[in-house]
Amino acid sequence: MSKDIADNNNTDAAENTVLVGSIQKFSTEDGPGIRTTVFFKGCPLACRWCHNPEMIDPDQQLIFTKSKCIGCGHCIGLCPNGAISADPEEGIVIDRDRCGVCLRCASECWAGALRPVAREMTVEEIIEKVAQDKEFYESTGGGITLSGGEILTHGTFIGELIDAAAERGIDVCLDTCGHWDAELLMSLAKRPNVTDVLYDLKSPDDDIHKEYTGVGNSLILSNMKKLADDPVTAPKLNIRMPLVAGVTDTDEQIRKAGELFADFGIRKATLLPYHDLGRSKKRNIGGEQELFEAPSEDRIEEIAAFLEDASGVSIEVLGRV
Amino acid sequence: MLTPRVKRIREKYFDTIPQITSERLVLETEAYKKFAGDAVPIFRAKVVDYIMERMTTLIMEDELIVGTATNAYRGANLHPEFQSSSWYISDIDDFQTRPKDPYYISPEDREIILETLKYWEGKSMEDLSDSIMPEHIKELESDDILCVGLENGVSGETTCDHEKILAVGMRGYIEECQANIDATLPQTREDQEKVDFWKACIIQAEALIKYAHRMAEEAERQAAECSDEKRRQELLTIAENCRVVPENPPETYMQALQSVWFAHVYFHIEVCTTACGFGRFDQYMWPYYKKDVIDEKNITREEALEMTECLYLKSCEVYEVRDNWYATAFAGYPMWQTLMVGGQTRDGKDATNDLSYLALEAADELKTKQPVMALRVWEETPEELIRFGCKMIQDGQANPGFFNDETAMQMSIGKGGTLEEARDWTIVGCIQAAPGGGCADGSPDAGYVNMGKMVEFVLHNGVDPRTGKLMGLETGDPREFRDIEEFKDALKKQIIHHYDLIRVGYNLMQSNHMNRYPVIFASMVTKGCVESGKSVQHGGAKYSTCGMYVTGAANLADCIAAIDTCVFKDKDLTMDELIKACDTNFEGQERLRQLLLNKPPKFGNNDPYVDGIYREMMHYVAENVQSWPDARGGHYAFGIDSQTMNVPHGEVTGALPDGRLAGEPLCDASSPMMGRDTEGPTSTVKSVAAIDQPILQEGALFNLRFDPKGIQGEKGLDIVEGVIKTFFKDGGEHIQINVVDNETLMKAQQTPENYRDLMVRVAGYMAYFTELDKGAQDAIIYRTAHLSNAE
Repeated sequence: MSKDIADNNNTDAAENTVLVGSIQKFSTEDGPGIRTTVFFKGCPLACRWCHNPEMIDPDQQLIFTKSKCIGCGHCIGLCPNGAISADPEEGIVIDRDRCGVCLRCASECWAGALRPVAREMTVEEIIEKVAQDKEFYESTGGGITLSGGEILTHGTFIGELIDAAAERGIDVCLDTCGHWDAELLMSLAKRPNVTDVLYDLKSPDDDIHKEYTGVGNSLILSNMKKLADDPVTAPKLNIRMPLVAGVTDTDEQIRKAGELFADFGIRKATLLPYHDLGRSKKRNIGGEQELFEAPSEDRIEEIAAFLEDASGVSIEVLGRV
Repeated sequence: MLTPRVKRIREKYFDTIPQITSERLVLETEAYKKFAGDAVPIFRAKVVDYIMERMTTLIMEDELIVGTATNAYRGANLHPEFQSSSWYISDIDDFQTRPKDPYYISPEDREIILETLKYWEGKSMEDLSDSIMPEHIKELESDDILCVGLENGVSGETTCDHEKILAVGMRGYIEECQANIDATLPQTREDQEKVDFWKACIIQAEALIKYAHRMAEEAERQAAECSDEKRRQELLTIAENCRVVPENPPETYMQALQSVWFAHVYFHIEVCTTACGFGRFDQYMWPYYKKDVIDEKNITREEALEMTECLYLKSCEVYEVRDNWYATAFAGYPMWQTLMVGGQTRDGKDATNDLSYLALEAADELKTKQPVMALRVWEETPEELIRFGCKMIQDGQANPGFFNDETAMQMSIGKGGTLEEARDWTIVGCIQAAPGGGCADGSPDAGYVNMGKMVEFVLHNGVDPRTGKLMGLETGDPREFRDIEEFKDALKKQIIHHYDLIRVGYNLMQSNHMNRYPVIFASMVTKGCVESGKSVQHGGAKYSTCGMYVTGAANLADCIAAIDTCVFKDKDLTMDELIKACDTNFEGQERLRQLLLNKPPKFGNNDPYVDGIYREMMHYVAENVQSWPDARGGHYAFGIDSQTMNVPHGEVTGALPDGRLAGEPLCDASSPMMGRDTEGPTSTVKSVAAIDQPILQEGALFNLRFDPKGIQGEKGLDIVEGVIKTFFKDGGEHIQINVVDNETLMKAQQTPENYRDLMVRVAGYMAYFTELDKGAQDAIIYRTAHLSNAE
């Protein structure tokens, strides 16, 4: 474990609240049944195609949605740093270098065009909200899904949340990139009310992984193996692979993934074809995300068929827009 | 799979524009002149008899079930006695060109109609109601603040006792009425009225038998000329069927279907009725189906399916012509002919049988808007049946609607029904549960109050800001209200005052319908009427209620929450500033409007605070309204339903404190205001269930729309089913689910001919999307599409 990861883990133990981007009810592609997905802020990876780019930075950010802006200009006078100016095309323009994320502008933006990316929430606040849909979980075999960002960056908090859910009889699905401390990951994944672990494999190739996510995949692969080898966690494991044309969908990558699945005894995997919905969110927090492409439908089918053949894994394709 | 025959009839249906014809109008006018002078029920019965003896007997190619309401396919009748001569005349050319629910009229018929209507000048129900309705109520109606039923139509909505019709036939009813007559030597007006009613019943029962026999003759005539042996045999079977039913009990499943259709088509010939439900089809038809298909194997299941589909296609042929205003308020030629399957038996066992499935299959194959399928669900409903319904939803049919036995039974008991009758509950109207077995009359449309106007009245101390006239109660200057309780009290007074005005107007209309327009056949086949010797209009049905409804219920709750939050609690603005902002339609105050839209909680997001306001207000109305007697010894019942009246009621309503702009539609029925249920469908469902629906005797109509993407595959079925079951567990009565995407709808607006079978449920009934006018289409498009994919 690298030093910064260990430091992060230590500070985590003391926190009573964490930054939650949103709590999305009626999520139907994040595990079985009707689910509520909780998005936590902060991620050790920085995937270039990330569809939740506003959730990468562990700190609070200001997000601006142009379509909601009514052009009243009220925010301009509120900014202590003079970071906001009027713009005939965009409504307003934010100078991100001058913005101190004090959020005064957002607090008085009644149209909701300026708002914080996330808000601080306690375990109890989250549980109250997600428990509202408990009957739907029960009638469909659903539950809550903890996602991000990366949940493991809030390990202690996540553990408490899982336990609080257990007290309410709510099942939990974990969605993780796996680039974190193995002990923490295993301890969370083993909890009895954790029914599914959605585990990302961005690329089976270490170099490509590093090039596109900022980190190599060795920790991720070794954690995946631990999950796959443990009889408690193995049946919960579902590998999620983003399919980005020319990056993660090449014959070489898919062949490696197939070998890996066979080698680890992976039973379930999900293919997530790239979509570009993350780009507008990236723009809204001030930045540009490069444009990738999804593989063709034929190619997706081909990949699914190959992986099922090569490794006996059962494949689902989700996330098409 | 549809048989070639059914395919051809279905194609013809889609290819034919509804048409107004003159035949019935001419016959009725002749009869009115001929029989004037008889006691009213007998006079009315003779008029109907005159029509039945002379109207064209139309048997069309491919038909297995026969009988039409007019002399044209997809034909509509004019009923000036119930409706009007004046708007028939003034709108006659409009009918053909209007955007909502147009009708073709041939040049010859047009001339005959105009000539014949001269007789009716000053004689219609509209003329009468216009002369007796208090001026203040008329003014409230013309300003779209409220509306009163029966002024311009009939108290239809018959869900009759098919079980008895099948068991004893018309002959049985005639004998029963004759025995009653024989046993009564009138000594009082009441006795004489009973005898007149029974005599009228006999005339009309005989008239239907005669009509059936004339249909038999026509079938025989066609058979004689038919060169195709297979069709010739079919025509001979049709002839035989028409000689057996409706006079006698049917011997076969096909004859039972024919009997059901004769009763239904007769309802529509006698009066301009709507919402005549088929009731519990899978129960009263079961003995005939079981005998023919299962026990004796006289016909195959496929043949039974085809026959059933022929009945369904007949139900697509009937219409009620409406004026331009009602064509907007009830858009899409709705007829609300519900057909129910599933649920439980009178002794509390599961009622599902093979016919329950077959009845759904027929609808699944046809994808027509009539009949409207209603699937009753209780704890023992087989998974397979619910699943079948869910698959139809997934397929985008918006059919069936799902109904919760538990809640519907409580509503039925509230209407006076016994436990057995409650278990046997049926829909009377579009979603209104009533004691079953054809013993309840709902005459559902007593009226609607526009909640948007109620808020405006309180904000302006009784003055309508649109017209500047003092129209409502003077509930005080709202600037002096100290807290939200005072505001709510003023609203409650204002609202009840207007429902009470509906009561006054409707009792007046009921009293006049009683004396002029007893509906004989529908009364005869409703339990209680022959026994008591009284028509449904006189309170003859075993149970009588009248429905009062509401438009803009969610807007009302949202407005109260906005004023409470922004004026009283957080003091973001003063009451005076709020009133001025609404009066100017938020012009130059968009930021303020955004505050009102986004800061206070909105109904539909599982927020206990605003959901509680909604429940408090609706229960207050229900508790008041449901204690009021109607003119015939029944009582008023309250339900949350708007049909598409939220569009015209929205047009006259200015900007509201909930941030809604002037002229926009109000919310649809019990659903949240369009676009405001941002927490997703599970929250919407929880909010609507939190109304505590069993108290509302007329139910709450709930439309929910899913993006098809969110409910794909087997998992999608689990999700649809999970949503329905949770809604029911929480006490919801009714839910109907549209599965359409906005892109499809917008394409359908541009090229309607490519989307003519695209069906959406618009408030309790189904309509073809392309048959709706643009305003209603836009309202559907903007209704929140609940996307299900993860961020």
